[in-house]
Amino acid sequence: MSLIKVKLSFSGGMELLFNNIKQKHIEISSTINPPNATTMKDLILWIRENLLKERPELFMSGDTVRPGILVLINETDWELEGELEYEIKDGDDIVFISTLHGG
Amino acid sequence: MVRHCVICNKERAAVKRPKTGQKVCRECFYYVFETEIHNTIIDNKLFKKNDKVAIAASGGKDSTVLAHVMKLLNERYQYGLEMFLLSIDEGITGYRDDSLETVKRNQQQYELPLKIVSYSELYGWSMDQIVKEVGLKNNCTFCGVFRRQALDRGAVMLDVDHIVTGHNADDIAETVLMNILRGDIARLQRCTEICTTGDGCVRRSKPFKYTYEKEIVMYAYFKKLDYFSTECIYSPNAYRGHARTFLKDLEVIRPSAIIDIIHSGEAFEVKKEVKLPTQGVCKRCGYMSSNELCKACVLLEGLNRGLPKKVHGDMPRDTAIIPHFNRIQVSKGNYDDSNKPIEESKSNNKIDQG
Amino acid sequence: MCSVQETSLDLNVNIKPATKDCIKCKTTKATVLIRHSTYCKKCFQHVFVGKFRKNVEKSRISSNSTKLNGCGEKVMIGFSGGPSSRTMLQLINEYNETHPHETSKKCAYSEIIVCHIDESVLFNYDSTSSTFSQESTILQVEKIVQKYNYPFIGLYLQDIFNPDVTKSGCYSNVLELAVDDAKILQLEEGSVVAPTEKLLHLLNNVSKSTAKEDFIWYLKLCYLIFTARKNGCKRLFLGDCSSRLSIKIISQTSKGRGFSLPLETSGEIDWFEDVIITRPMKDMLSKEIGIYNQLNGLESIYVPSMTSMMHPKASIERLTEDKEFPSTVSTIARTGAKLTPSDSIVKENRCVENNKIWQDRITVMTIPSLHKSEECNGQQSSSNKTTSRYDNCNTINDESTTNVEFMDLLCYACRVNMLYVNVINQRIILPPYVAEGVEEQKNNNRKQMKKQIENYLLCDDEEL
Repeated sequence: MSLIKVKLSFSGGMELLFNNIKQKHIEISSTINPPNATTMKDLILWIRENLLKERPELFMSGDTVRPGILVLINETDWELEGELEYEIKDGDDIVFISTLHGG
Repeated sequence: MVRHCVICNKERAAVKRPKTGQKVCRECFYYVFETEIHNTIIDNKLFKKNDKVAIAASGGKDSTVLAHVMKLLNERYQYGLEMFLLSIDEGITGYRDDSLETVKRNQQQYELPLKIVSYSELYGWSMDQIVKEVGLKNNCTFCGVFRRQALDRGAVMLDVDHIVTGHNADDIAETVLMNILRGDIARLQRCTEICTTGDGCVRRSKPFKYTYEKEIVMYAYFKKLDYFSTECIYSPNAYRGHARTFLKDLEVIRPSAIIDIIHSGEAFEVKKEVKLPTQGVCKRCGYMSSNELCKACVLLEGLNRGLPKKVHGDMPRDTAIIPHFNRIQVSKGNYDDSNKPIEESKSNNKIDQG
Repeated sequence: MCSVQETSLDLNVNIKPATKDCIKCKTTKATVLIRHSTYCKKCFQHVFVGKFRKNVEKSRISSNSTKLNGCGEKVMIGFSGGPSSRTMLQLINEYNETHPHETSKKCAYSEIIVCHIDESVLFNYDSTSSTFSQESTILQVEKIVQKYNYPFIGLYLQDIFNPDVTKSGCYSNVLELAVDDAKILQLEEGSVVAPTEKLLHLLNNVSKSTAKEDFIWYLKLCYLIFTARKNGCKRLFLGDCSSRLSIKIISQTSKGRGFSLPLETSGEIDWFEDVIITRPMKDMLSKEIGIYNQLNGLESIYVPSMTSMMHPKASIERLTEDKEFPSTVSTIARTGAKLTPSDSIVKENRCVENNKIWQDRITVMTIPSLHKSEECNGQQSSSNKTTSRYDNCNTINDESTTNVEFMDLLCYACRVNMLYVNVINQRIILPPYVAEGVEEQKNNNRKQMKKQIENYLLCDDEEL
């Protein structure tokens, strides 16, 4: 098992669920669920367990993020990266943007 | 603590009215429930004196209450309507055969003549046979298209002027939402009309347009009306799921939401530049259609084409063409202009307090 | 904000789904997925900006063709600071500096004003210390607007109670609602209650979030319209994007506002006659906006709505936001775009008597008492009810209107909202612009009455 570094960003109101923290560098196991490589699905759960401060229902719905939350992996739409299946790599830059607020 | 009815202030309140949240006694509930339907009938000029009216009766709660209330109002306010029960037998074993028994009991209770029209008689196919053929995926499409035509055809057989159906406020509000979600602009505009009159076709209307489903159930419960409440075996809580749940949630947040949506729907007008399909008649069977063939004929063609592969011994192939639809003559007998719609008359508006 | 990386091919080597190329340039790897179409960054931005320009262009041409004076109009941008209006501000600025179809370097708009309404008053105001637990958004917003050199107007929602937020610009009376009457009151100078207290008092006595949200929205919209008018702006840009509009279409329909849907959701509408509302973001999804702002480093501020942090069933608006409808956002938005207010209903909703009867007829709340029922039908009985309930209330003088009369001046959906305003133990104060509207309407009615009977009046200048 090795550790991988990931940069997380929260914006558009998402930060309010995380104690107003907009950016966070984390280190997680490369295999949260051995022997499989850590995926976005694992990461989202990890965030909920370890970082989320309140209202999990405003972050997650089922095993994915709530509709209306935009996810970018290294500046690329996660829908092009396999969404929950995407395997996290060292140095990944992952952004969560809530699109539900404000006009 | 005894809570008194907020309307009469005398009796003990027995229900909280879903539509208004008022706590009322049974008698007052009956009164407002029936009066709202009467008002709807009068304000929309639904009937003329001596009209022949078919009540679409499925044996379910809506149509059972409809038959009960129509009979009651017809007597109380002397509408002078001649009424019939019209049932469609889709041919679903274990469902429709049972519910038709309810309708037959209603026929006795309300002393109204009953006409049953079956899919097999009209189309050469029962729903049981259709499901065997197409499976459980599109069966509701078949049933819906066939039922609409069957009612009109039954009405022609009965020689009635008018069909009333048990569509309630929830159904209509839900249809408004669904048509928005689907972007069906033509239907969106039509779906809140209380009375639809295709040219030459049988008038069809919804006296329960402003009546809440919950209140219909309550009414049936208190009046101990005999109705059939099993869901169709081919579509356990099938279509409409999404909009229905949403509507129910809305109702929890704001009880008037159902009426509010209908009000919205009535206010929608489609911009003039938006093209809507024009109504013609089906080349094959003469039923109204915006295309060359009506939906029923198209569906039937598909079914019959599949036939040679699967031979149904009990069904001769030549019956599978729908008999020609004879449109109602608009100028017929009691439909001249001199016959005015039923209006509110002062003498017979006594309150029937039990 | 993290720096924009160039195409990150090396990082994506191992991903499972086949990497797709941009459907537009067909040469670069796609990084964005919008409605089943894949784009690279460059093409995405190009398409995005193109949609925006098409919308503003269309609205500008339609207004110029009537005036033909060539020089652009003065406009106001309604800027919440949220992502969509943030993009709009940027794109209007870009558009105004260079727009393709004219060779001369003339600006599209003669003047651009940015207006923001601060709503922090809605969030945890502590009346004893007169402080807000949430700081004002005006400073944050101003910082963004400063980058553009446009005049900035920062307003506080509670100032809707100021006398200048009216048609005449100096109408200081307010409308006081109580159980039986709605009185136009003159506010005594000196003992003035702070606008903050008035607004909070009003909102705290609206019992349901749905009605409260509706109130707030109309206060805001009216404030924006009044401000645009006061500053001579002919056009108000609102940043509603297509995701927002589809939510609004559903929620407004559910609140009985079908008749005013075009006002709330049209790309362009002249509902207020002298100020045209334009929604240039109407074809963009919130997802597109989020990506665009991220790619261009456009920072927005977080603007919570009253129910953002609440349970989904807190209000109709909130419930609608939470629903994932099977159809696409664009289908709903397209449906909305095809609707126009029906003349008869708009009339009914502006002069409401017929409609009021409709409501009483389909929802019967009383029964005519037995001895009366002989001579009256349902309709008359409802008016009987009205008079009997109100005939012994305080004498009607010029400044007082019964609640019923006031309700008759409201549209259907506002009347539904009023059911949730608690006036039992409270006297509720509505802002001057409402009072002004009531007075105007009453005067109009008097004028109309006078016109009808003028042949019978003995003296022309009879005071009515």
